[in-house]
Amino acid sequence: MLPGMAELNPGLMRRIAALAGYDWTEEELRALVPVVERSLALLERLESLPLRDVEPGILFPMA
Amino acid sequence: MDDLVWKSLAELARLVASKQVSPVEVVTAHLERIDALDPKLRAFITVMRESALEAARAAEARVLSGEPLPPLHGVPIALKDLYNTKDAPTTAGSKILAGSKPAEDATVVSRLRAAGGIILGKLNMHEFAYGPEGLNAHYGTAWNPWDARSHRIAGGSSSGSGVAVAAGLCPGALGSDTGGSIRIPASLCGISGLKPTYGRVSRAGVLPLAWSLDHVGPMARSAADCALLLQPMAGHDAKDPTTATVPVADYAGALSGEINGVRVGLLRPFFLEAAGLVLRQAIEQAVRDLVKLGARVDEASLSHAEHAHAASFAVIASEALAYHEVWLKRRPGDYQADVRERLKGGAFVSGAQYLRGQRARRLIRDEVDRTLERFDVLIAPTTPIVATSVGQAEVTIEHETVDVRSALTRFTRHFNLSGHPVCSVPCGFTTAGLPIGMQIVGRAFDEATVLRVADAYQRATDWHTRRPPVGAPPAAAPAPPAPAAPAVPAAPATPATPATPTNAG
Repeated sequence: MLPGMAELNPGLMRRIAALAGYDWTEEELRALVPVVERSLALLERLESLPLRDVEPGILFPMA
Repeated sequence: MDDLVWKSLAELARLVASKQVSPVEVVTAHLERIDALDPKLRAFITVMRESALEAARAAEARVLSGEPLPPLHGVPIALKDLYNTKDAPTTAGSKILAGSKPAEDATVVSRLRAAGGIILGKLNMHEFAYGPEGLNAHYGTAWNPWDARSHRIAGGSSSGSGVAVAAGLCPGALGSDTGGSIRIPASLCGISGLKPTYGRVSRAGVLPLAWSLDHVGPMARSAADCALLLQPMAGHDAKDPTTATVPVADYAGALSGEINGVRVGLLRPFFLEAAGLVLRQAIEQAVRDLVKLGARVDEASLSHAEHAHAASFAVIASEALAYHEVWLKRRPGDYQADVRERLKGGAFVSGAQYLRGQRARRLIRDEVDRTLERFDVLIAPTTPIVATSVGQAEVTIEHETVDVRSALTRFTRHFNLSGHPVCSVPCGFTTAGLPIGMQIVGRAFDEATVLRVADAYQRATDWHTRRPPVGAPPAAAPAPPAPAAPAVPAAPATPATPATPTNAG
């Protein structure tokens, strides 16, 4: 977890999901907590990469 | 007739062109084998019996007319069920798209038909290509033909493509690969599969998993047949703006059998060293075989490999959710459970995290490019494990227990992120009779060298000619394999334990 990040719980996840337009039950959200915790831990690994001057590896071809 | 189903694509095309075999005979032989074996194997979602026979009769008439014939004339091919076809439903292995009938063919389907290919049917897959095992709750999970007794995964997401080609139900098929989905089933089913360079083959009319990582490509029993299939598929397509205008090579013409002096980099850290013992031994033997053919081998490494998992997850989770957002809101109950869970997880990946994955991807691509300045190709195992049992969530490699999903994509996703071409070829079997695959990675748009090395290896070895123990007469069938490969003993299934986030399809 990054500094300043709130602890993940079904209530917080409900608010995030609701903002994206999802209406998931308490049971569904509880099941998602460990999944999302692991996802965030995985994504945190990218923080260690030297990406400051790196542009995304995707293109937008105009022709 | 049985003999026809084991002919190569090249041989079938030659037999048809020389009027030794009718396309109707070829298609009928494959349909009969599908009828006999597919109730168990579940490789097909839709068998296009009538349209295939109609196309075969038309192909026969053209042969008899004496007209010039295209290169795949009269040869049956099957498609992973995410390629749009104007004459059959395209379901993506889902309930949501059951019965969906596209108005036109995907570009590559049109090109293969124009090259003389006859579409035999639509193949099973992990639902919406969102999983590396090949599981499907709606149409049944395809059965790996290398274990006739117990239900093992074929690998995914192009599971039906792997099974159909391996079991002689079709001589060639198309798959798609977002994190390994051509190469994983090719490896687990003992066939050859090519993920071309990103931009080499059009994705137009192919249902997406993650647009920026999706690759479409051929699967066949040999690299030579992959080359034959790739030829008409490759090239720019105005319908897919990500396709490149780089000239298309003569792939079959590149298969000289000669690799003397070719510089081979063996990816040991992160890749070879993380594979099970028997798989490591198979790859090391394959490298010795390449040396005997004149290749010069040295060690290679990719320092960003450990970040590929996170980058791949960020990109696929975000892009997949973007595609599925409306269905996930309106019809969540129509997804199979594992796919629904993965899609939901995408809602908690931020835009910044997605772009961090795309920025990491730039580093990964640049490093592979730099490494391939020193080497012509890189070698790695395709997977660290062989086919596991359906429902098995974890597997032990040496002394470490890992989840099956993460293990399957560990060595493959790196090259979806980098976009480089990779061919997986069989390079051995465990004592239980389960196939082992090897990746051959090349420079961007240099599929010709990748296929040349793969073909030279296959001319010198016979792993790709072995047939699985399904459909053989009982007396000729080999001894049934043991329940698990000794090199990678299986841990008890723990399906309730969520795996490390792995979404690659």
